Amino acid sequence: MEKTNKILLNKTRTYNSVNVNSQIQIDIENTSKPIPLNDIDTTVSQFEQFEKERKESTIYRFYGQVTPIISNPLFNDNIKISENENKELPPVSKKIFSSDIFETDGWIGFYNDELDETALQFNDNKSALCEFIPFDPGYDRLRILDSDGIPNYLFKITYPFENKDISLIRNSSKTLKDGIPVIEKFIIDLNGRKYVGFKTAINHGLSTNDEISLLNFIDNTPNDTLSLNQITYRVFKLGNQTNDLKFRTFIVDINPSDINVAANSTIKRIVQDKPSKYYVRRFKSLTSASIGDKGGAYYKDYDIYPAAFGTSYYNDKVASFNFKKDVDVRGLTDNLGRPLTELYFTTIKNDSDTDITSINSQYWLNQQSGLPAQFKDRFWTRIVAGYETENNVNINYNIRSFGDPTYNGNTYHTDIDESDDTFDGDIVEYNESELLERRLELVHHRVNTIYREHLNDIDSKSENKKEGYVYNPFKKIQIREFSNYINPIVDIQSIIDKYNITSASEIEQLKKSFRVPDYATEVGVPGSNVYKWRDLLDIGRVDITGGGVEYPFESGAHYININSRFFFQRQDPPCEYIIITEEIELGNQQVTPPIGGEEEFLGYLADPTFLNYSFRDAADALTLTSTGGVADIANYNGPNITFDVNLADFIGEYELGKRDIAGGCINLSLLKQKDIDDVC
Amino acid sequence: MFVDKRKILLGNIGSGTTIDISLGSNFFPVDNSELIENKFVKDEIKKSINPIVDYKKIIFKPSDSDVSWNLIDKFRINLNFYKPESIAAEAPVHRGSGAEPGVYSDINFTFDDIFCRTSRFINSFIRLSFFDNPYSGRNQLLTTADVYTQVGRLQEDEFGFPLGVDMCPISFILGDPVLQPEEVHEGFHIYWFQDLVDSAPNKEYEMYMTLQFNNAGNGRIYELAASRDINPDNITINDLEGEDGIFYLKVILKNDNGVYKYRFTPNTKQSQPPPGVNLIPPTPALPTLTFWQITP
Repeated sequence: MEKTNKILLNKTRTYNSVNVNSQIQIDIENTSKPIPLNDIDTTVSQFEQFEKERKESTIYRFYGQVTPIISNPLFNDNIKISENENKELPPVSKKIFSSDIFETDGWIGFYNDELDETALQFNDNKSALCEFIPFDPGYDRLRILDSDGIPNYLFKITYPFENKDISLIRNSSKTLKDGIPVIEKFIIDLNGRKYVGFKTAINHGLSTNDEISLLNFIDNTPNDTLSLNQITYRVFKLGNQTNDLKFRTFIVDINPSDINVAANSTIKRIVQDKPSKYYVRRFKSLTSASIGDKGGAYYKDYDIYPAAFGTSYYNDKVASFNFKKDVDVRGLTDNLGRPLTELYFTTIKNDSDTDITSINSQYWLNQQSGLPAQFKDRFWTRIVAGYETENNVNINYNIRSFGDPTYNGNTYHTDIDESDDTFDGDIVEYNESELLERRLELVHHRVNTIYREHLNDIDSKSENKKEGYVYNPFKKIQIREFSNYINPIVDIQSIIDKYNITSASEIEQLKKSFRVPDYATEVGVPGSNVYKWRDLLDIGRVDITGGGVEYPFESGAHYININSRFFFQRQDPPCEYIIITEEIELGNQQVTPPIGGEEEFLGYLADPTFLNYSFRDAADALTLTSTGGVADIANYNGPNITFDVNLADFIGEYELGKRDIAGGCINLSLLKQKDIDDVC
Repeated sequence: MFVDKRKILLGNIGSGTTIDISLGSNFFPVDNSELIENKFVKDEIKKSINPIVDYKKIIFKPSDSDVSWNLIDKFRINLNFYKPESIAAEAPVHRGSGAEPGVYSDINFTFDDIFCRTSRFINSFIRLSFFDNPYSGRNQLLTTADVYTQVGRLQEDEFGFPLGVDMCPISFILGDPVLQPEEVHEGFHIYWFQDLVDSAPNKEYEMYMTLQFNNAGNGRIYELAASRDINPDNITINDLEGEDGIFYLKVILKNDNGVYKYRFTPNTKQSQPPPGVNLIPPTPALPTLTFWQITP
């Protein structure tokens, strides 16, 4: 405005003056008018809208198939369980002789040679002769698709939510955060020169030429010329002298006599002066449990049903599943505070398997009735977790060793239950220079039956059978992926300094304007305001290295198909055997009191490891063939004769008690072959 | 605000008092293009985009008629037709007197058909059709399920041979694919939109089922109802349709605290003896639906 006029109120002019209302007419003329608009046409891109909705959605739906590889080589006992004639009494059992024990598709059991009158009435083929019946735990306790109404396994969707430190070495002051333990030094000869090699307790995650720091090693050189605490070394090569064990051994160009391994020696990988961090990831469930009608936990968050025509090579039925519950990952962050990029399809063995309406359950509960309260009412032990570490008595968490008395006192992840919401998971390495996590060791769960685990307490003549089943519970689902490059470092501090910004909100605003994400890592000391990070690739964007994820988006949700294989394997399959020969004397001229040779002989015949027997004197076999003679050897009542009974003793890597069945690594044809025609 | 008001004549202010208010403005032609581009168009586009409709379908499992909606792992469907001799005598009556199945001879099958599983037998099926309301003039078909003829334990004697055609019941057993792996599973589950059930009042969604038998032997489609209360000589539309009609059997789909179930909910006519729907029979009988032929 060109001129400013002040209009004072009267009252401000003189004391007696009063304010008055004045009305003044002012004409305000408008000399312009809005320009008429043309028609506005806008094209809406369906693709762009789809992409927009897809980017905004954080809802995931999971469905898929599980192909199981499951069998029961670790059965409770080679018996057939049936109802007592007097139904008031507990169920009874009949021993199945070794010659009648068969393996079908990996399952150990017998072919029914008796008509089941009860089953016959229902005319459902269950009464058929020669039906294969696995020993307990059988189909109803192990298969993914379980017809008894109590699921044998529970599925969950989990994500890593926090880190945990563990002591991998027994009685060591160093923990996983101090690096990967080194348990052994060896010397390797390459091109006529000696190098030192080291074996680690778990996978080291190293590659050739990686830079490592050797921590707490013994420097044998005068004046510590190796300077182990000051300098880093390059990995010269992976593997041992025979190029094996590449994940657990590595070679360094140091004179072997100059260095030794101490009890707490560890290594850390170094990338651009940044040492890696090592820790255990813990997983949290995004789904919840309920209690089933027949007891035990079950999940109502998903449906499970047989996959059409789906069977594995071993005739295990493939199970399909569909999570009814949508998983929303909005606001969730992983163990490093980043947006979730990985979820895990988690399978947990359900240990609630004692349906008392089942004859088999009644039988085992009856057998276990003398055990302490925490055991007697269960069929399965509590779940224990660990890793596939090196076999060394000083290494904790060796899942294969659990139950071996030599390893008593070692630490494991214990008391795991399928209803838990959090689980200890894998061992990973994270390096701030790379901003990436790498899985070094997968976690394994281990279960055994209560009967096998406490057999000695149930029957003092038998030793405990401590070999259990192990399985890998976590299968990774990649829902997002970080870019394969690290963003250029953004230095907010230099701008703060330049403009002397002190307000925290302004600093936050500054971070936003530079698109520094919440999960960015501060370079240097905390508060340095210098950031680096990896961008999250949008869903559907695949970079030049093939990184990125792509999956269907429909109905406002991302659909993830999970095609999983579930391997329920032996804890320590024995790969060696020796043949044991026992001497037995039978006949009517036994000493008084009877030596019980007959009972012992029948016991050997019923032992799953029984191979054959032979007469000590071959002439006995030719002459004594009458009734009550050797043709009916179990009831033999002739003159005393001596037998040699041969049994196989299967030997595993760990002392886990008697093994009834050989590992798949043994060529059974060397021992014994049977034909089903012998039975049916 | 309190103001001390006094009237003072304008003349008292003094003559010739003027107040100049200068309101200058340099007008220039403008339009709202930025506003239009940045807000109006975006808002209109947003309004024009259809909301996301959730097409996720899930499995609904059958439950009994108990207040707690107990799940059942199998159930039986009986079909009862007019006896051929009664039709010939022009006085059609259904077989038996209770909620029981008819026999295959009622619909012109022979023993050889059943024994040899001829095409005309094994290609015959029942179709379960689900509608949104029980009025055929204005309802919409939602979903269907076909169940083919079965020769199961009900159709065989103790030795596993098919029963004679005049004793062989027209029954179907449907079972849960996990809990009853040996039974037929088609038609056991209902697959429907989770979203519709979750947003329904009390999380209960209603649909109405009809049953047809498609006879591949004679090409005829038989309509059946879950009530024996039929007078074949005087059937009116009101007898068949509506909430109280016999043709449509109400099915309620429910989200029962995260477990998705359905149940057959008969009306008065379908409940009266012999009941077309009997979901809690005395043990060891199976939950049973019985349907009777409507027109001869």
